[in-house]
Amino acid sequence: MAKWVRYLSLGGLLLIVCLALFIPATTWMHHQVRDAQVVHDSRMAPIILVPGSSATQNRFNSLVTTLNQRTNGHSLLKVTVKTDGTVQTQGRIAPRDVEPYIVIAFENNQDGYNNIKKQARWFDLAFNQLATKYHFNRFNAIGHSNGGLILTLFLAKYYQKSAVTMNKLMTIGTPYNLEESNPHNRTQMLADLIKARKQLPKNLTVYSLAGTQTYDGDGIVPLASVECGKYIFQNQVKHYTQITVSGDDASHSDLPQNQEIEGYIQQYMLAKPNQPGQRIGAGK
Amino acid sequence: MQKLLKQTIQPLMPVVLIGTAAQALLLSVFSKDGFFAQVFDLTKWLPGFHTLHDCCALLTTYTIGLLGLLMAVFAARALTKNDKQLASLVAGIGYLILNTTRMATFSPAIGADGILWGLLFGWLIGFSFNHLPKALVTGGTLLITLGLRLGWDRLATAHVITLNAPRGSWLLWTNSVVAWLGLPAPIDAMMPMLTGTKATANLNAALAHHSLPNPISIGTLYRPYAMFGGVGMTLGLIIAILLIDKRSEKRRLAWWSLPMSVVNLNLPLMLGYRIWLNPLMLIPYFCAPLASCAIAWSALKLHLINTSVYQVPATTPGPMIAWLTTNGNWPALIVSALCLVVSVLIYLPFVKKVSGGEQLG
Repeated sequence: MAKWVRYLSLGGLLLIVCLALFIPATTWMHHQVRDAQVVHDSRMAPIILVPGSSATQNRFNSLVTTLNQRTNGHSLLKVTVKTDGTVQTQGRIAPRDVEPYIVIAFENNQDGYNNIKKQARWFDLAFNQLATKYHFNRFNAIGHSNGGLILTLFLAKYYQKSAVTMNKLMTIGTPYNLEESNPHNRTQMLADLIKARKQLPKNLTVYSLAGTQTYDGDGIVPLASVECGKYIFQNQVKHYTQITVSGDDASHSDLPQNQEIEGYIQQYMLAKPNQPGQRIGAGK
Repeated sequence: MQKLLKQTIQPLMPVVLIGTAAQALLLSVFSKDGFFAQVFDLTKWLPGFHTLHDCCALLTTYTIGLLGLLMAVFAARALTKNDKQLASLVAGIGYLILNTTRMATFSPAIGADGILWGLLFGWLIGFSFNHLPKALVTGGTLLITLGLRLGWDRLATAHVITLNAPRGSWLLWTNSVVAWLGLPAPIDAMMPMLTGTKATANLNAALAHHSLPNPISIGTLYRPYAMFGGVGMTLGLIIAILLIDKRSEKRRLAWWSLPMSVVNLNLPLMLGYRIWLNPLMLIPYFCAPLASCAIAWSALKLHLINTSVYQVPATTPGPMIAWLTTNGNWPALIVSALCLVVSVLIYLPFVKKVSGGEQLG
């Protein structure tokens, strides 16, 4: 009996000592990692917007103006990537603006899978120049139509080589299966993206927004093609959310001006969504 | 041979225990980068932190900081049959002469790193005293050590050799053997952890939320999973002793060395439990870390556990290292526990053998 009590008390003591060590150590480690993360992360985390085919760097002017009216406002930098990889910029990032909008458009803004692959490479070139120039290592991205494809291709092909973190991605009316409305007929591009899905960052949150004018699409992109995004993102990234918007301004090219979508961008993509205040710079 | 070794070590044990205890306090509590100092933020609120740091540092230096020298003295003392006094004196002076150099790398080391050289030197002196005239040995030793010292210095200044930190998978195999010989191990338990180029690349990738470039390396296996209690997973040995060794003297040693083993210092155990230069104990001392590495490697390969990336102090208790360096990965903690259990199982038969076979008090 005495031995039994002795063993029990010894065990209890050991457990108490272990917990007294374990819990503070774990808390301390979490603090250490969080501090390291803060030191590592740049203050600036821009929102990079990529327009679809046939659109220029001015595609998001109206969106940014609306967002700046609704929130505390951020500056807008517009970039067009030439076919030789050089960039031409318009506008500027305001000093101390930690969440500017950067639009990256392409001189060659044609449609087609081969061209989208080229655009993803141009995007990578421009992106690296911007990251070096403005010293940021994290960002969120919004792609309209083919812009979403360019961003997804960038994630699959170039992202792991860069030292930058993409936290959130929003694609608006992005045809993951191009114009194909039958999800069983996978285009070459969709097949390639599904094959490369393991390269997608596990920490990413993805929103895929679709517009519907009819029951099966926004007039240009079939709803089924947008929904094919699930084959790429689901069970690979952290969160994948799909939202379908209908009503006014739900046709493909109106989507970036759609009130609902503006609301989603404000709510999901901006760091401080509902904070009205001083306007740092209006998007023009 | 083993008996002689025992006679040499026995009188040193109090010094080793006090010294290692002081070192454990110094490195884990009274140093800025010590585990307890970091976790409980001791520098901020503990009064007299720096004074205590200095006290522990001095105590360490004057005890195990002189262990090589003491080993030489007591080795000569143990082996010499007549005139132990003179033999120890000559061994001590001779060893000191060998250590008077500007280039510490070329001396046999006066501290705990020099226990093997001290032992060999002391035994050599003792052996000579037993077989040659006293005066000749005394004079000869002084002359030879002086000559060696001077020649060495000349050589050393003429050829400055740069030694790079060794790396490569062969370290896994040799580390235990080198430590067993009493030489400074290539991967020492008190070296900073996860600070190499590969680990830094991993850390950067982890902070950027990218996939890790070097998920499996010595740094992510050996230190987090195979060094509980110091080189050789000796925390497993302590548990094995407490489980089945009936000898009260050895149980006391195990209890005494437990707190030091928690912060990965195992010198008292190495000397007191006769692992050092004992061929029988080399087997588990060699196998336990390798088994742990194999378990951790398999778990990493099967993606059961996260890779260790975040840096922790060297004095972090062994079984907690994997948990903390993965920032709280439960499977990593479970694998650590498994490694500990396996190393206890590896040590058990050997503890059984030495505790049953040895009749000496």
